[in-house]
Amino acid sequence: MFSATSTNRLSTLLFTAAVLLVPHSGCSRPTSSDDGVRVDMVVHPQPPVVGMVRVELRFTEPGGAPVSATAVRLEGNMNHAGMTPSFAEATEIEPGVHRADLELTMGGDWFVLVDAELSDGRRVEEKIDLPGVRLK
Amino acid sequence: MSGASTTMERDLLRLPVVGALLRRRGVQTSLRVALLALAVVMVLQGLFGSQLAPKNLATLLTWVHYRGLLVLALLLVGNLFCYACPIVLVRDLGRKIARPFLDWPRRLRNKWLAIVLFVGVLFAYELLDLWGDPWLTAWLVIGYFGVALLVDVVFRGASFCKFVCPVGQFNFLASTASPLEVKVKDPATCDTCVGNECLRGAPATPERPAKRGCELGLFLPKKVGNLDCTACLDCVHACPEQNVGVVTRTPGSELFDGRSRSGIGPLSARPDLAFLAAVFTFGALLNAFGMVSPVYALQQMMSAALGIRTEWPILGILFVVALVIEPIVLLGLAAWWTRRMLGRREGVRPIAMRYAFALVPLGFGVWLSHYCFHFLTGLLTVVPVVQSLVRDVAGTALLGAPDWSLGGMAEEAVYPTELGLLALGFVVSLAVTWRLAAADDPARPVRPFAPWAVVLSLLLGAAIWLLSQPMEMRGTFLGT
Repeated sequence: MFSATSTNRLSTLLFTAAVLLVPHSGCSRPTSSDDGVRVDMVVHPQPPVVGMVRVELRFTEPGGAPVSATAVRLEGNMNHAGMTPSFAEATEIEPGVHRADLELTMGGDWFVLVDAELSDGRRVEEKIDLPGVRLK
Repeated sequence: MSGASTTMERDLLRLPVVGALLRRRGVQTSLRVALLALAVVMVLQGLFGSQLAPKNLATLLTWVHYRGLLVLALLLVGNLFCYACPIVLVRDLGRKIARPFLDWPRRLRNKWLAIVLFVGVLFAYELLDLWGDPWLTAWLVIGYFGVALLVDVVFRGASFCKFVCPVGQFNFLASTASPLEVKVKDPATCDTCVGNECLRGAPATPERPAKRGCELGLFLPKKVGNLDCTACLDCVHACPEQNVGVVTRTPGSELFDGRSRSGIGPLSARPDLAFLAAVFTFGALLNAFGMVSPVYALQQMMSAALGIRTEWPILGILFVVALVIEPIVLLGLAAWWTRRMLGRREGVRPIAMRYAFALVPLGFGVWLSHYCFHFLTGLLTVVPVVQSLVRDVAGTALLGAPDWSLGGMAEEAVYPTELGLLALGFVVSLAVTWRLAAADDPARPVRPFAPWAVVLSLLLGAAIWLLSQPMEMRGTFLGT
């Protein structure tokens, strides 16, 4: 199927394609929006434990004014590969404050990806670490 | 145990489809090319992609899918990953530019360097939290290829495979429990062989290119078992009589075979291999222990007792206890008790060396349970990562929008499988131990068998306890 020459050519082609294509994959970590909207997360109980936890997210402008969001989605992941993530949608309980119940399925270090659409159309994506989830 | 083929053995190379595929060099090369391409993609995504471990192929494929598929292949078939190792392609390319000019140093023709590297990888995995770091994982892969290339463009033969590669040593030991073995089909045919092409290879002729012989120094008529065999099938292609097959066998049977093995010698004369077998087994328990809740409580206690707040000394102590002190104590006591049972003047050390190999199937069972847990519970997590990568590269969701909710089997469903794999390893270890005991004391094998059955039972109990502990994966030390 493959001679030595064709193997070398195919290897070179695959390597070149990977070099050219993969860096453009753009799978970069979410960052705070350039608008500088701050996202603060508080988790109850403290310290967080395995099971359902209550997550409160506060969105504020640089000056401290609260910012409302029309949709807030949470994705909880452990910081190692191979575990199924947890998802939740947060609802606004007061201007700029959103609450959700999120299931933490295992002890260890987690992070929460926040994806919010603000009421003025801006989009905020934030990664917030949630380390040290303990067993009950 | 006879080296002659029996009517019970079946040669995989004679099967209609599988045999034809295995006999074609192009199939092996294609697999190597595919895995090399995959390694390149993993490295590039590890270096330049999202540094979130669940969303990066470097961490996902290395620590979840590769490890899981590796052990399953070893259980069901044999050393498939060495057969298809992409490093061989890189090495062969390198040798077109720079031909090796040295023989591997005589003083290093053993497994001690490989043992240090194997333990080093396990240590780095824990200390650097490699499972959660795509960038470091990518550099581990790069480093692995780099070291292999460097070794094999300097030293002749497959020096990296035989004396250095930590994954290779793992595969060699685990494949002692595999159901297939590369071996001579008809020993009588080898009696009249003059070229020994299985070892020396054959020069090119006008009709065909040169054929490579076994680069790990395994002369097929004297080869016993799967130790040091990468299943590269160079011997299969080199033999002018087509007298080498991939043959079925009883898993674990080579562990009580005391014959001198080509390229290895008798196992009784190899303390390095015996220690590797112990590290393989106790390392399986240690690696699993590093992921369960009690390890953090233990580290807290050690930190408080010793007044140490940095991780590496605490980890170092755990490693020395688990991989040196514990094996010496357990195997030493069992060997001492066996000597008393046998009433011989044989030293404790040779007895411990002989029976250390019987631990390997149980150790493999622990590795299987652990890696299959991660593989089966995270089976489909690779799908959205690939979907996302394709979408970002192509600009459109060619494979569909990433479904990040995809996971794998529930933990409760995997647990019985883990216990089953442990039980399988335990039973095979007991069987190997019984055969060794029967050779030591044919009249009353239960006497030398008993101490080792106790050791195996203790290790099994430890493994069951570990598997029943809640998992807790932390990337911080003492919560800092």
